[in-house]
Amino acid sequence: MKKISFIVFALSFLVVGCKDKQFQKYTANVPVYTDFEEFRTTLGTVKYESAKTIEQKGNIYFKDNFLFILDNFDGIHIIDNSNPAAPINKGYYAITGVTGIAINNQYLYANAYTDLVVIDVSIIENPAEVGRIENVFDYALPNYDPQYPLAEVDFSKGIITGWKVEEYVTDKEPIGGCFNCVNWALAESNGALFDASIGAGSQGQGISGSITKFSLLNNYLYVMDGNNLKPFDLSAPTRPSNTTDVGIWREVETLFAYNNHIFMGTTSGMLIYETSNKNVPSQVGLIEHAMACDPVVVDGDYAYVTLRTGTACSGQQNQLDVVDVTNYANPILKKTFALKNPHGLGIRNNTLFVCDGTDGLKIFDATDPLDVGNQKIKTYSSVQATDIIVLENTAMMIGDDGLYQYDISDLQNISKISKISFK
Amino acid sequence: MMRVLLVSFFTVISLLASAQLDVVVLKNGSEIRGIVIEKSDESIKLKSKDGSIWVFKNTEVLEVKSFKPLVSNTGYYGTLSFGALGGSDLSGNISIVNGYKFNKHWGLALGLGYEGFYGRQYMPAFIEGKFNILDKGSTPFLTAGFGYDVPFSITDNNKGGFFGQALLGFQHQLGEHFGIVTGIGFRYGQLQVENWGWWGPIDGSAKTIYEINRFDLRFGFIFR
Repeated sequence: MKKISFIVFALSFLVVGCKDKQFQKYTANVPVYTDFEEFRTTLGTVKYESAKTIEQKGNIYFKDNFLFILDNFDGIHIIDNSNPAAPINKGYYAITGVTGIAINNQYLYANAYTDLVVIDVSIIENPAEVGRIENVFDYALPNYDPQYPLAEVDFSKGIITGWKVEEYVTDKEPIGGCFNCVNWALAESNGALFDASIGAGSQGQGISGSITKFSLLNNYLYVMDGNNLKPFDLSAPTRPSNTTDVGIWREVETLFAYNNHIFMGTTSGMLIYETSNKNVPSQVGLIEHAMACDPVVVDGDYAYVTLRTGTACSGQQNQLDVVDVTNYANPILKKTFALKNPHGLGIRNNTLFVCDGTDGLKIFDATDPLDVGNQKIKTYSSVQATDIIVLENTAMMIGDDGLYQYDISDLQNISKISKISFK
Repeated sequence: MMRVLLVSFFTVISLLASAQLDVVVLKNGSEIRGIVIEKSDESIKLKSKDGSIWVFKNTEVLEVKSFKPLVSNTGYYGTLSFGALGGSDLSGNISIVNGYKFNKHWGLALGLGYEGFYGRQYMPAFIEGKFNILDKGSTPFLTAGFGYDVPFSITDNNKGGFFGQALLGFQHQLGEHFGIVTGIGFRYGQLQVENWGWWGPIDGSAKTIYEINRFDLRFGFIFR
């Protein structure tokens, strides 16, 4: 009897223990985690380093004769631009996870993955972290090799500060679960604040290119974080406070602050938000367009919106739209001009600068906004133009191979005055 | 289903235990095999395999003994067996093994078979070692081996995979060249299926791996 009991027990054990399972195995971007605390005391805080060779284009920002070029997720190149004809690559702020900055007086606000960091840059060579809001931004992912999907990500393990391309094995699960569940969906997302920068500013603030997700307005910093617009009250500059998030149910790519309003370029249209309640901006206007990437700038009664195809924006249009925003509640598309593949743009003194991809930098006379596309002043076609900052006498344009500066004091005689080549 | 399998297993074991043959050795040198169905002070009654009833006077009988097939310690052996691979799923298996017995305990064999997992068909090709615990025709034994499940269709994304198996069984020799085997064991394997979309492979390296954990309930025949 004991033998039979033993046999029955052994058989039961076999039956219960014999569970088929399945798992996935593939070459993937496998996350490299850094512990949250370690990140905040090492990689995620600012360190001043000697100048580095600029290897890739990034968002640009100008303040007090210094030009800042972002190296996404790694740091910020600092260019002494006191003499635009001879800019000096001065140094580098290493801040892991940075994709956007804004400078208000002596304080530089930057994201470091999930945190907003406040850095005192009154002495450029001696930056000091003076404030930090932890976990205020959605978990962003650093650049990865797009040829491969992403491995499973465990956000509780820390900050992902890099990737290793290697064979990845998923957890085992019962048969019948996920098949072909390679993590391409997540791979399509590149972090909430990717391509972030800052909006055009007023006194005490710097100026950014038009491709931005940071914007300063009336002592508030507005940051587009995924589908949320986050207002930060800068009344206490070293202790910015964020108490509300404003849901924006579109894919916002750029912010542009103008006349107490925030203009948002989204993949499907331009939104206008008013900021009478600075902490809770509210939508007042909207103009739809087909799917496309679309930075926007505003001057007077007109907004200039470029639509382009490519990358995540899809769409079939490459054009410049001129939108009448006399009434913010009712923006009206007035004119459309065909372009090659327009990216960023800038406007000053009735002159519109459009970075038209492989067609280069195009400069238009915008005295008559409704005819701006037909009033081309000059084209620099030898550059792959991406974004631009326009000052009174100088335009700073970033392209694939370098940062170009132009003397625009004489619109009929615009000339290139310098170039910082990328590696 | 599982209950049916278990009942079948124990039924087979019982039949094996009761299937002992007797041999009546006569003084004239003859031997008659069968089952002794009656034994008295004067005679012995034996039923042979074909159903005939034989009656021998005790004075004619030299001895009555259990039949022990003469099993060679070395040489060829083969088995044809049928298995139920169960656990969280159930599938069938047919295996043919051809082996060589090196001595009274140890043998080595190559095997081929047919089986299916999750709608895909495989031909398991394997090598296995066998250890007979007793030096008798009826003996418990152990086998252990490994092999590769070769997919029957090699044109699709099914790439098969390696497996290992072990079995604790009992074999009963019914004759010098024929016997029956049964046993229970365990099978572990990993079967790879490349991840394909409608256009073909999604990524040259991406695959789904089915980890097979099954108990193996087996019955078959052994040939020498």
